[in-house]
Amino acid sequence: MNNLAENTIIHKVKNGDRLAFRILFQKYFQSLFLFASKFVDEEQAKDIVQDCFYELWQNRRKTEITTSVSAYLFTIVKNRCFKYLKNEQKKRIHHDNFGLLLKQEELLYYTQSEKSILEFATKDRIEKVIDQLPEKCRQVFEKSRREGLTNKEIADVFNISVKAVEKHISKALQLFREEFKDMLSILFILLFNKF
Amino acid sequence: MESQKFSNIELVIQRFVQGQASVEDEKLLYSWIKEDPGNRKRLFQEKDIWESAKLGTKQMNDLELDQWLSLQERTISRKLRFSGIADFLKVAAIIVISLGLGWFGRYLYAQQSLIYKTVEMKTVEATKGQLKEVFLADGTHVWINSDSELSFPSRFDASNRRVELTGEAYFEVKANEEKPFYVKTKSHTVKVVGTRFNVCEYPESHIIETTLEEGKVKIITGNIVHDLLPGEQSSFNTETSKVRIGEADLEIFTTWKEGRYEFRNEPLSKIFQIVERWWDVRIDYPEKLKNERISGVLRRYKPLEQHFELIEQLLPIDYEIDSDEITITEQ
Repeated sequence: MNNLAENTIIHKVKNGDRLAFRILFQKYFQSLFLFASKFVDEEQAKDIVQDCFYELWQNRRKTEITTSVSAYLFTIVKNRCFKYLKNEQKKRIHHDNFGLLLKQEELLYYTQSEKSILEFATKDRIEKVIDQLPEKCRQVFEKSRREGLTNKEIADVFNISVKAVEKHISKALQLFREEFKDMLSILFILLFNKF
Repeated sequence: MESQKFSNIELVIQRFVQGQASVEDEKLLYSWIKEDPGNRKRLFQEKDIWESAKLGTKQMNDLELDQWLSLQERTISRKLRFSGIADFLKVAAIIVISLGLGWFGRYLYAQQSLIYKTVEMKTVEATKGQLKEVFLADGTHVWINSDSELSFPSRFDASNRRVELTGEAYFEVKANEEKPFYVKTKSHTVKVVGTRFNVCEYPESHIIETTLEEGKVKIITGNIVHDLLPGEQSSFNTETSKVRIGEADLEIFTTWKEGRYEFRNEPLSKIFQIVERWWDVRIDYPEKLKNERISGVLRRYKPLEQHFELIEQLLPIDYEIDSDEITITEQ
């Protein structure tokens, strides 16, 4: 969807067009959910993202989007996750919860400088990379990606060693990195232009 | 010392990225990213890539649909509350999502009807080149393949749920022991109690295939009843009225709804039939090639040319695409 198409969609949403709203939802739901899941648990992520769309719809007449739709939605989700993590931190007395600390670091990473690939990546692009993976590597990767199996479970399924599974996963990640190399540098340029 | 502490870092990163990190892993990673901003970038970028790869998985698609429906409920029920009669209304939501090119398609949504309104028969047709998704009044989710038609009542009556099918469809039926779900095709009926399964019955083929992924179904042909177990497939030959039950490769029969069709060692005639349906084209090819067998994957959202480029590598053929006419010649 280019900017023009997106403007049209937004215009239609403002006028109460549910089809346009659905298109918007389909375009961004998965990315926003995966993004929120980086910082908060799954249930919380569902709520945050759904509320974000719910409010967009309820307040559609009042809402003015000056940036791109994706930047607008990602910013809202980011802010809500930030609020949630802050509350979480207050609740915990121990400061050595490294899981939580890492989440905070990660959120900081996205607020300070970097953009997530999720803001730009499309399902097509992902599928293209997966298609290019060597057969065995793809099978292993898909088990992990689609079914969320652990490396040990995957090793059992294919009757190979855990080490071999790790090798395949790392190979897959490497190819993804290659594929997204240009995208990652584009992200950099975009940020560079902003400042 | 330091280098030794982080000697295993690659594997720890991998575990973290996959969401399988232990408490020690997290502790180690935290000190690792504090060492160098480059490490921090590396870790989060890797995780970001991994998470992006989850876009479009079945799990995500299911969640998306689920969330969309609950969002619909929230935005619609609010409207009803204003009208003050929400409690007396049952919302029968029939959502038809048509996947033409990409995600853009025609869309009808939420038809609200009063309980006592008359029951109408509705028909949803996916023409060649289309794939449609329908939600029935009871929450059953159906994917209708190209060149197929599903008829169903706008509301199910008290005792059972009946739909009629021509072509191919994949069903995820909402469980309800008291109200069995029936799929009627030209010559037989599938009786279901909460399950996922695929029915394939195209008029030009005399075989009706029913593949069960999960749950329990009965195949009823005249007076004969067959039970199907998960992972099994029944093939009913409409010419001989014989039924054969065997094991099925579930992936093959249930992935088409995600826009994939995997074929293993299948005759060209069958593959071309699917190509004709999915892309709404006509393929003209020498009779001789009919029984040539090949393996591969069709992807609905990929250009047709890509598929023929592949077939051309597998078989000694030339092809020519002229809008919706494809001519195949032997080399």
